[in-house]
Formats: sequence, structure tokens, C-alpha cells
Amino acid sequence: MPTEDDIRAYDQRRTELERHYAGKFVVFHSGQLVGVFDDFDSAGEGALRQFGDSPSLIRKVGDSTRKHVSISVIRSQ
Amino acid sequence: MASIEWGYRSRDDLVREGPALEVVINNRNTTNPIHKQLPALLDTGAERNLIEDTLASAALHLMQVDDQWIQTAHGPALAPVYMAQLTIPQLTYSKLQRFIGVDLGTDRILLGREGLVDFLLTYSGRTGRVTLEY
Repeated sequence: MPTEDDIRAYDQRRTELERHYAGKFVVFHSGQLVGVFDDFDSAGEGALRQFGDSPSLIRKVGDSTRKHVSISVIRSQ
Repeated sequence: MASIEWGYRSRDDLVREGPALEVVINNRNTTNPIHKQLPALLDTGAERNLIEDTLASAALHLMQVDDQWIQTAHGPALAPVYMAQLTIPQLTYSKLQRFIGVDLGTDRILLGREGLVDFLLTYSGRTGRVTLEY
């Protein structure tokens, strides 16, 4: 899972990221911004290529973890 | 453009089962690679992709890349966001996607609107047929 350093680093740069990279996917590793990508596939490939199985934070700029996403899981028995 | 068409014997079956197809999920782990074929429900009512959390964490050992607050029947909860390779063999589609880990009650995934951005989905409630193009 992403480290506290990565989450803290994202939060500290949130305003700057939202100004310059809204809608892009960013990768943080060891508390550093290491890449900006157009889509999740590219971001994930970039993270895997650079860091392998070592955890990274991959987040879409503008997505807030505090935003409640809509899910629709309703099933009949 | 590649496409697959599938369906049910009656439109009532499509109403009950929903538009689901078999996909392959791969954890892309270099030391412990695991892949599994499982059903994916195409769910345009969901913004994001979902995966059964116990499957993601305990069986597939997917890499967690973020967290996300979600609204559940028991109130808001912070859920893990996993990265996985999604492959649809019939469409030669294979990309990394993100999935929120939740309790789906069974080993399956839901492909929400984010997961469907690459596709053209045709849902025929009249005939019980579904077409997915990539």
C-alpha cells in the first residue's frame, strides 16, 4: 500500500498539482512525485517499470479520497 | 474494431443476471504472479471499478495504490484501491486498471464507467443481447 510519506507528499502539493495536472494520473514513491501520466494504464506501467513490487501512490489529480464514489451493488437473493 | 456479442436465452435472464462476461485479472507481481478468470459485471451505474476485497487482497495479492472513501450500507468507509491488469481475451484488450476493494459477496468484479471508457457498449433489453466493442 502507498506509504504515509507518499500520501503526505501528495497532500502538500495538492494545490499545485490541481493547477497544473488536473485529470492526469500522478505517481508518488518515497515521498517524491516521480511521474505524471495521461491515464491509469500508463501510470501503472511507469510505476511497475521503475519500482516493481515496491508500493507507490497512484492517484488521479482532482480525485479526493474524501469524495464518496457512487457504487451500485444491489442484488436479489 | 474487435467486438464480442453475448446474451441470454430470454431478456428476463439479462434483467436478472446483468451484462456480465468472463475476464482475466492479473496482479503483475514479479515475485508471485497470479492470474484468475472471473466474471465481470458491466455496471454503468457505478462510477468506478469494484472488486471483491478478500479476492483482491488474500487471493490475488493485488498491489494497493491508494485509498477511497465509499458509501456503504453501514455508512462511509475508507476502502483500498488496487491495481490490476484487466484482460478481455476475445477483444485482445489488456490494460492496468484500478479497482476499489469492497464486499461484493462473491468473487467477481464490477466494471464501472471509468473501466468502460475504452469501449462501446450496446445493451439490448429487448433481445437480451449485449455487445462490447474495443
